[in-house]
Amino acid sequence: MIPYVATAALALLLAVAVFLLVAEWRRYLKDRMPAPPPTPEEASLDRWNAGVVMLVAGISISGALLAWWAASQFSAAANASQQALTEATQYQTVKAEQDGYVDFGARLAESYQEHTVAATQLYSEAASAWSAGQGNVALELETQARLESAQARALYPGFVCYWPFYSSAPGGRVDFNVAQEKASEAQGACTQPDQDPTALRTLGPAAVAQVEATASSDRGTAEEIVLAGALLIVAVFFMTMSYLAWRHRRAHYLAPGVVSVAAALVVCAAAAVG
Amino acid sequence: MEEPLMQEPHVPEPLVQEPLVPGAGGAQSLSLSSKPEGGAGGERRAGRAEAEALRRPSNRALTIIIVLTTLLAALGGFLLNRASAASSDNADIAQQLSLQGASAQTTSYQQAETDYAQYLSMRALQSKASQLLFEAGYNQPGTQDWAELYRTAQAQAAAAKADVPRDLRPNLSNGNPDPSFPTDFFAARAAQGTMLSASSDAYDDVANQWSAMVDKYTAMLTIIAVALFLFGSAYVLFGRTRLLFTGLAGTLVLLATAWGTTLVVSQEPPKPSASAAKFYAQGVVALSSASTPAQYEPAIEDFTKAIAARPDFAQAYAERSNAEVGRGSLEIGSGFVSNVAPHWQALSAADALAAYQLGDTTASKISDVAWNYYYDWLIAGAHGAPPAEAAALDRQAIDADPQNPVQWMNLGIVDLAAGRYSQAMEEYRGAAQRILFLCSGTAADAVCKTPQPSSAYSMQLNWLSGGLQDLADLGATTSPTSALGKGIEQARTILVASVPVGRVETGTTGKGFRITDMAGFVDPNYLELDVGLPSGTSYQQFVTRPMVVVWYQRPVGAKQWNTISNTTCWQYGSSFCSVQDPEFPSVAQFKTQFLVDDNECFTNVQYKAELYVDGRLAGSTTLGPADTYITTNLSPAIAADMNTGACVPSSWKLQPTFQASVQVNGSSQRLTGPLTGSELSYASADRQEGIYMLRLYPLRTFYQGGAKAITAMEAAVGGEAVRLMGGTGLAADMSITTAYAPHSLPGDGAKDDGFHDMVTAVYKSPSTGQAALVGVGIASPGVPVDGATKQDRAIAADLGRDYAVEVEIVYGRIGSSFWDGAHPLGAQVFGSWALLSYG
Repeated sequence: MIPYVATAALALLLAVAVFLLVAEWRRYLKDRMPAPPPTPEEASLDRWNAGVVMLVAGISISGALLAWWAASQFSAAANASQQALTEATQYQTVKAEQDGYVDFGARLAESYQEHTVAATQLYSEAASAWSAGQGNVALELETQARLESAQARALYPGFVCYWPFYSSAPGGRVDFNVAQEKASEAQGACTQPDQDPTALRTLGPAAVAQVEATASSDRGTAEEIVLAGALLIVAVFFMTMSYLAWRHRRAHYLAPGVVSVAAALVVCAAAAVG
Repeated sequence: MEEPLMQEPHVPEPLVQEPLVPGAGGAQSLSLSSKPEGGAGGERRAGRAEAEALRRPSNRALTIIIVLTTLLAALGGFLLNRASAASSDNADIAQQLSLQGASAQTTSYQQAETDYAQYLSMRALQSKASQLLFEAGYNQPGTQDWAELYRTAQAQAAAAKADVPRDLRPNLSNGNPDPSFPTDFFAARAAQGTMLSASSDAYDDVANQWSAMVDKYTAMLTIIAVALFLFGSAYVLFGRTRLLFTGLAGTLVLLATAWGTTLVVSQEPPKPSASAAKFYAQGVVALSSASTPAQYEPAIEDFTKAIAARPDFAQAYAERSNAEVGRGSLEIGSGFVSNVAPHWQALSAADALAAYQLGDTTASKISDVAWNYYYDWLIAGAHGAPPAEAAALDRQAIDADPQNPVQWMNLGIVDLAAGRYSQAMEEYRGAAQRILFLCSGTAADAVCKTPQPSSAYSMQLNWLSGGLQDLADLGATTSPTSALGKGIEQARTILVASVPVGRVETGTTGKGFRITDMAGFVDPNYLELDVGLPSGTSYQQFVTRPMVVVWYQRPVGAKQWNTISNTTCWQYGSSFCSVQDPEFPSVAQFKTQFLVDDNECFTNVQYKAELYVDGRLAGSTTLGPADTYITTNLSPAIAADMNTGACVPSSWKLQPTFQASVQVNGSSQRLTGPLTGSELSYASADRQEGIYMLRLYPLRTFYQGGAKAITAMEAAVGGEAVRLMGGTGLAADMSITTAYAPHSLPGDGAKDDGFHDMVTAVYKSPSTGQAALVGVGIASPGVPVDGATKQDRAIAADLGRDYAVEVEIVYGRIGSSFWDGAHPLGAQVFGSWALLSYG
């Protein structure tokens, strides 16, 4: 709302300023004789003078609006920066947890595999021992194999969120592909209740960069508004000079003021649109 | 001729003719008149009055006003500075807490993982010790060594147990396994981090509020500055302009003062609430451990307290909304897409909206809010079109997370309900695209080529099932022949035609079949849809069509069906979901083992199955408790480290691990210890009904001698198990009344995922009136082979089928509904016993 009100106000003030400039220019063309500035009493009865004074007052109020707008934009930029930081932290927290689960799964898969590979090996050796007629050796090997299997079975339900793709690959090996598991994190992140399950898709570096770009854009807009405010100060200076100056120099002082207001309007409009 | 704007100054007649006396308010002499002094007294008085009128308010008054206004500006500056400092301080604290929270969470997770790994090591040692206990009792060489090793392993297990932190508890307070373990343990450990993050959010929020105050104070100060400028200008002005400037400036000062006072009195942010963060963290822990509707209530209470302490706590509203969905869900469990009871839906929707309005604008929250707009409209009777907010928010959610098919289906159903059919179809095609592929674009018809990873399968089940359920719910509000009904049918076709073939289809892919001969069968752990093949169609011809099977369930008396998402299945050109029973070649059997694959049980509710072929509904069937004969609420009893489980009445409780006493073979020594990893039992409160499950390993030599020898071995193991367990719920004087005989359970053997060579026997106790049905089966990759060498080689190839002998003992009183009647509960519990999918 503020951008449009401020821009519209500036447009109106510019129209008034142009009108006053044209009027004064016409008067100047008719009377180029140097004349001292009017006394306050004279000025109070002069419509042109009153018009410029009112214009200055209007520009001042518009300046106040611009100050508010700029403060809001700086605040929005600060909030967006804060949001980017928060999102980056959330993303990193979720990512670290998911990576932690995957790494934990990889370590557990390794422990699990130690037992399954050992059990497989022992059963194979037991089979050879049976073939060789070494029954007692085979029985001992089978016992050892069962001990390994018992430990493997105890470990298998311990996987959290990310499980091996195959629990009984040849030779007792376990296929736990860390890269593939990490690639699947974004699709089905195993999050706590207060964490966003889509965080790895929606709060990633690209999303954070987008929020930061918004912050940067807000900051840029705020800077534009500050520039517009500065131009209005320039305008107020020249306009004040114009009604305090000698009559034949009024138009000369008013013109840069009008240009400043026009420039401020352009900058303001750009800020409002952009 | 145009009148020039610039006029020659008109000097009022008569004007001031005397120098102004400073004491009268003038600071300067304003002698302008060229007229000589003197004249009528009346004229002089009139001139003075007019001059005074021109400089009202007087310079003195203006000076006083300016001084006061300057003081006011100084006060405003102080407030601005204070707000700015508060904003900055709170933002700094928020940032510190955020980093501390993230760090605490990461650290606590790492510590929790270490502790959990320690717990798993302990379980492995306990299982090893349990196995050594048996090995020492077998008739084999080296039993003394195994006994010695048992003592060592038991000591190691005890030492490991001592190292496991006390807060790591795999069971609930009632002794039953905690279905949320270990994720709730991780959440509890992360509570400190959660609290710090919540505190950070509170400080951040306060910092933002102070920042907004800075904006307002800045505006207020600017207004005062403008007023000062106008007052200053008034000094050099005369007449109406001076009055106007003074009046305008005064008005601005009054406005600024009123605004500033309002800000100071009523809008200054409160201090961040520490208790809100604490209650919030407690709520998160409670939420993470909830697994039944009632268990969501503590979480709701905690979040309510958090909201009371901090009324603008967006995250607390968001989590309370989630907890209310859980509280009101008609079905709870990993395999369901559930509808929510209207009361809880209303509460949840209000909280989700509050969270969104307070700044929780994550994609999932936007999607929730959008869905709530639609769902509230649906359960209110679906009058008119859904609220416009639903579609608008769904679009926002798609922009935020375009890869999620749920958002596309949600938008699709809203557009369907609003009569925007072509848009809806486009969105359903977008959803189908994203169910099948990874798609990052926000265009519905984005071309996506990377298929979903295999790990996304369970989510694909959820997406498809959820989409079909929503369409079914909307379909219930209209006639199938209406425009909406046809639109719903078209949207459903897009989903069920596309998913099996793996590409987006806009319509049916063939003529399909009209199945009239369809029957369903539901067992506690297992369900089956038997489809009579259409005449002239062979099984091979039938299964080459793209088809989808969807199962629903709903509590008796409920109106809406809930899909059992994990039982949804699709196939195309293969028998992925169906099998052909050699005994009934004209029947295609679609089987789903819920307990085996999902560790869930079917229970005493209504079921419905739908079969889609070529994207068309080929047939459906509905079953109630009278058809399934399940009359009790059943829950899974899972022995994960034995790879076995059963469905038992929900009222049964997990019993402490059995303590066995074994005599060391060839010695008089006895070893006593828990059968961790080898035994699991559940029993009713009075222990008169219950179940034992055991996993044992007879020596390989017992398997030699063919089928007879195996049956004898199984009988011996079963008898020994009954003897061992006797006196602990199961009567001690059980004696066999029906000899061991071959038996098969539904679902066994056909796909090599059950027990082999299973035998059963009946035991009775003359003293207690108990009867026990005992089953013994072998976990092997097929029919057990004769010969230790072959068996060992078979085990080496598939450790999951290691020829373990699994024993199930289900016991209860004779003369009760447990054993008597056409479909007794004891038989259902017994029949639900199964090996789990990983072993």
